[in-house]
Amino acid sequence: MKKMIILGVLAFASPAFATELTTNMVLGTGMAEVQKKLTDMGYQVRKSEMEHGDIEIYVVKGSKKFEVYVSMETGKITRLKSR
Amino acid sequence: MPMNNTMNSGHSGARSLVVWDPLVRLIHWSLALSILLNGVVVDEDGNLHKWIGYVAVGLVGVRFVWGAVGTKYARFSVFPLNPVAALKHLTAILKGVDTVHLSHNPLGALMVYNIWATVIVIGLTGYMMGTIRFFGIEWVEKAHEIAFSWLLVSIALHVGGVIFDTWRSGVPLVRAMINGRKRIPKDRTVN
Ligand code: HEM
Repeated sequence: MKKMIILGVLAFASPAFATELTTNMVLGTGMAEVQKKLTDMGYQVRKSEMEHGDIEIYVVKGSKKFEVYVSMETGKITRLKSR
Repeated sequence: MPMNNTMNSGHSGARSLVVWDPLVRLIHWSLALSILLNGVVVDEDGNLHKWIGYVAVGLVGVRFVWGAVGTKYARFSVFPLNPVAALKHLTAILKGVDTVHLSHNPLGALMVYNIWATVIVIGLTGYMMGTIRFFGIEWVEKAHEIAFSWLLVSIALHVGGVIFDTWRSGVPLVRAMINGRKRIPKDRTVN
């Protein structure tokens, strides 16, 4: 039983289930892919544009607002600004 | 009682009247400073930008109250928002009339109300951009930017108007906004 709980917690904490945005998290290398990923994570995409070859997306979730910058090369979040 | 404030300014026959009280002057230069800071100096993503924005709107707010209860030449009633009067004033200028206005002239009044309204629009849209509801919403950001551009155009016209009217009326207007006194050449009719 204890093992199950630990497994469950681990599963929740693992990247596949992550809902919290962090820098270096991989979101994808294309605009549509990144938008879908964020939406699947429960974020509402407000605005997205290309900024110096990177993807810049404004998202909200609950009372949280973020400006997310994603590298088109690595697909990773390079910068995360909480607003 | 403007005549109580009359004094000899050293120019033969010129009168000098106190028109702008300290609050009007303080608000004017503080507002100009806040726009300069937020427009060119301060990082627009930072908290300071927000606070300066609140201050700018606050200054306009205080000025609005002062426009209702303040000193004589600071009152809205002496420089009403009146586009028809502004147009008449424009034709009078073209005819070479050089009447002096102790408060704002009708054209200046139009600009002053425009500037105040624009500052409010900028403050309101800026505030909205920080709310969950309007965060990242394109039209709000566009409105904020367009209003700011309009403010820059307005300020350019405002300063141009001040320079022009200083020349036309013979009253050093900038100095009046600094020390409160308008020095009126003796041959001018005061309105
Ligand atoms: C961001 C820049 C500026 C803003 C937003 C601004 C705004 C205003 C406003 C709202 C008024 C009306 C004052 C009142 O009744 O309370 C005013 C008047 C005045 N401003 Fe400015 N101003 C700016 C810059 C300047 C500058 C740089 C000068 C100097 C050249 C200047 C000179 C004057 C003068 C002389 C008046 C009085 C005009 C009159 O006698 O009717 N302003 N300004």
